[in-house]
Amino acid sequence: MASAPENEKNASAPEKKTLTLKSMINNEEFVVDEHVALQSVTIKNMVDSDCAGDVIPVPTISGEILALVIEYCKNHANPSASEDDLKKADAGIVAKDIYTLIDLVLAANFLDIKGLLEVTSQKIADSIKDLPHQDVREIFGVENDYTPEEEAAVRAEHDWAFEGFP
Amino acid sequence: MTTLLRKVWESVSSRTNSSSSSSSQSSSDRRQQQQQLMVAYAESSTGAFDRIPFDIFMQILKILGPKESAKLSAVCKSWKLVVSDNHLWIYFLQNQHESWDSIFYAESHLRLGYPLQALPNQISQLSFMHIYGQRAQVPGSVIIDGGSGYCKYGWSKYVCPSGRSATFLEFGNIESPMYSRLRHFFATIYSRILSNCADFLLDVGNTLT
Repeated sequence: MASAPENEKNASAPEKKTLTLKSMINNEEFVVDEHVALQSVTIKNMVDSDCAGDVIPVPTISGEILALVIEYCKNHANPSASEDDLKKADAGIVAKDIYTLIDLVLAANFLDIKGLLEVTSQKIADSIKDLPHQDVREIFGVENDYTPEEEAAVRAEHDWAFEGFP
Repeated sequence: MTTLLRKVWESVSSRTNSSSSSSSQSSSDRRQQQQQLMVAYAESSTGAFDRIPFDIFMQILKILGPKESAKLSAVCKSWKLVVSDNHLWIYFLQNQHESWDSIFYAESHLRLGYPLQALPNQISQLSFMHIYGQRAQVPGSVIIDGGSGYCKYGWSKYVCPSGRSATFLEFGNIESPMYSRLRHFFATIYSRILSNCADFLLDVGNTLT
């Protein structure tokens, strides 16, 4: 997982450095080129302020999610990737179930990777869009704490938003 | 996440308490409102969304847009609380296809209710979500309502809007008459009718802004 071939084209790049990211949830380790990992503002700040050791521990993010994050960073660190390719690759990364997406959005937030945060939020929004609110409850496991009368009152208050919904 | 948010709230609230005597009342009020919302959010259950920080929840609502967001208020009480956040609806009001900036300006004063209050930080009951809902429903007719002591105009989606509520763009009364603005308004409508009758109704919205 260490060096990607496309880096050889990049003649101006200085001697390649790698960082090791370690998930503190299941102790999985990932060796990543530094310029790939630096897309995370959180990691960049750690490296810049010299408080990053050989292994950077990443709390609260599982290896499975960290692998997705690194895949995203690798794609976006590749200077020869076209915009279309990146879009396709991003779509592949976020084609996950809602619980993985929530883990991913939290990881992107913690690591401060703006692009990933945006595509993941967009995907979560897409998975809610056009659903009746009863389905939203089911998907996210939200308990309905309205009485039928209260729910009817909320709907009546915002009836303009419920046109065409049962 | 819940405990984390609560911790943040505690640290912020103690800071507010120590500085509130010197800082301006309005900004600390607003901060307090935001904090109350965040605390309510942290203490109530939002299902799998529980783990999502408040600002990311907001970001997702902004992507969803006003109609989808308003619909989510029926999911449960805590979602309603999050969805009703005034900042979210100010964002929606300001990011319309057609610019509602000037309407928004008028609304931010008119939502204080009548009579107009001198101090803009005395926020009253009408939420921006409510105002947005009214706006979303009124592409229709113009209301011009004049009496001996007052004159107001606005719009409504109903053909015969008298007696129904609408948000009015301008208010005037004996102390603060609005003759010049009204004269401009009527003159514009008159010239539009003269030039093109069919365009008139479509254009009225733009004219008012």
